[in-house]
Amino acid sequence: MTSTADGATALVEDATDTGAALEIRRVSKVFGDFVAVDDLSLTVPSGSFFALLGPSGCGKTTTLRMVAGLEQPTSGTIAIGGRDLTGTRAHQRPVNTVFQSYALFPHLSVGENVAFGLRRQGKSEIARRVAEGLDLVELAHLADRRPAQLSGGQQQRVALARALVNRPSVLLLDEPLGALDLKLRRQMQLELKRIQTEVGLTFIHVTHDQEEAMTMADTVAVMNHGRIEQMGTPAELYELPRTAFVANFLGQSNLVPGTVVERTRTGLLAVDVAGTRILVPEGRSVRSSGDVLVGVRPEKLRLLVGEQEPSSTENLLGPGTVTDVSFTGVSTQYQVEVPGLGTFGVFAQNLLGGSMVEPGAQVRLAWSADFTFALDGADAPDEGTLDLDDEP
Amino acid sequence: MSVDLRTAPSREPRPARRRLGDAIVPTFAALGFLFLLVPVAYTVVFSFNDAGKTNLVWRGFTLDNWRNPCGAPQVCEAFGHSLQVGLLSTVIATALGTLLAIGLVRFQFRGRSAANLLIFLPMSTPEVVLGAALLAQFLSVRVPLGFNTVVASHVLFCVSFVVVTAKARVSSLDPAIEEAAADLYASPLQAFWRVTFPLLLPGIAAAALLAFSLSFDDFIVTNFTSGAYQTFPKFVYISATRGIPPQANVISSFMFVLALAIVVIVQLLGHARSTRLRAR
Repeated sequence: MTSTADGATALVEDATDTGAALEIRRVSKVFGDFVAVDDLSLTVPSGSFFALLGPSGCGKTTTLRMVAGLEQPTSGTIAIGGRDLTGTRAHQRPVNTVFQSYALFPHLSVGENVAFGLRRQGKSEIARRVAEGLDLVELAHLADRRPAQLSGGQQQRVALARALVNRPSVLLLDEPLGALDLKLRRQMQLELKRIQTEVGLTFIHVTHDQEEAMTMADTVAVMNHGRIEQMGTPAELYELPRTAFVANFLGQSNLVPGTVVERTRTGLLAVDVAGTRILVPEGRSVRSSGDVLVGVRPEKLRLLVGEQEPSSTENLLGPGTVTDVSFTGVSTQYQVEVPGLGTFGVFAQNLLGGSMVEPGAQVRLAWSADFTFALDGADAPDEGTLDLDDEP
Repeated sequence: MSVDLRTAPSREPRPARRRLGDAIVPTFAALGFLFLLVPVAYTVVFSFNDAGKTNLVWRGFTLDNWRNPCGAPQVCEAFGHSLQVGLLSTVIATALGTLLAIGLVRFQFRGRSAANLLIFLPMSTPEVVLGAALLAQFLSVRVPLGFNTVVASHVLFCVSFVVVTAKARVSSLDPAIEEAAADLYASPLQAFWRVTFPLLLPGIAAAALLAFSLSFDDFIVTNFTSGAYQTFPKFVYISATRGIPPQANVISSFMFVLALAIVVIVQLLGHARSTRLRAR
């Protein structure tokens, strides 16, 4: 690991700047009848790790390709470091990409692959920079190999080194971990995060994997149908989703329809959910009157068995029937069918070991009103849920 | 490698019918090869014939023909013409065909599927028809027949084969690789020469070899479009009536050995490369 640190330090010391801000202003991209990106505006501050998250076909890769210069926007402008680059071609932009398929040059050695961008720019001290780049991804010993002789994870790191050695203003990562197996992907997530912290460049990471986006990025923009649904830190997006799509795509949510009946003096909204009064902090609701979707994350729910009573600050729903119990080690997941409202998912930490109830048991659901959120009642409650046929 | 004794083949004598069945395929294969190779062997053997006026009867062994392959009138002139036509048509057809292949695979444009279909036409048209049609064209626009018309005709039919061969290679190329070159600051021209071309090279080389061999031994189209210009196949055909000189056999044998050598060298290089890669 020491050699890695040296390589990274050298790369950082050499850097004249630590990446540049990216500004996308009102960009649209239309392919025939299909609107891939719809009036998208977005600013990525310099030096940040930014993730574009969304299902396949949401326009995230098209957005990335427009930043790289591999596609031109139908309308709108793209600026990097304050310079308008709309209309320039890929080789004229201070941007490098790690492609999903890695796209290594099969006829060149690993070292020559990494040197490619430096040579085209006529940089000096190419050998030293290549060695540093390979050090950073811990592949210095494989410089003479051909890409076909490397494993998938090694190829991925070569692709990363090939992009990084050019010290681009913005580094684009297009589903870079998609082809790796789960264990290697987790390892590379940490590795990428470490490298980004060390070199301090602006990283823009495109992914459909919400866990990957949340683990790595400072800021996540959730995209759907060519638009940004919501943007924020992973914690903000998770704790306070503003649309049903975000609530379901990022983790899981229990969403039930209700109607706002009252604004209390303590800043809470009282919502009627199938005859039950549920409290929602006003600041956590998209609307303050009319129809809403009341939501709560599964791990915030508590199962009340028998005579157990909720505390005064908790919302309460039920009773319902436990239909499924699955033990996952760290936690237990319960499915609770509440008549008239549908199925609720509940994650409970296995603090006491084992599950608390058996399928068929009657339980009530309680959770702190502070964790409740409310969305626009016009949203479809199942929007953004995982559709197995849709998975890329 | 360990052998599982339970499934090892038994040593019992097999029924006669099985043995006969096993022998049929190798026998037919041997006969097939014999059928294919006898004319070649005949050509090589008779290149050493101490021929008089005709090279049809064996009159004794001599090395004179090989010492002086240009001994017979016009043999080497015709051979030289064929080389010139072959090389020039190959260069033009390979360059054009490769660009066509890239265009047909990589770009969406109106008439692409029609172009894909039309490119097969020169391959599927009978050569006699092609030759006659070309001759009619050349005569109607009053182009004097000769070297130029032969090369033009050869380029025409070679291009189809080049496109088909090169297209397979272009299709197997991940477009992201060229995008990666552009992303790494290569201008379109640099991306082509540094990435696309080297990766297409095996396909281009195969296409060029095919084009050359097609051009070199073409007789029908050449006969229509060459006028008085003589290529090697035309020379052989014409002299067949009077008797083919043994020098023609020498040149044919030489070309055969050369082609064989190229194939063997390519195979050896490929083998050496794969063992080198595995050794690392």
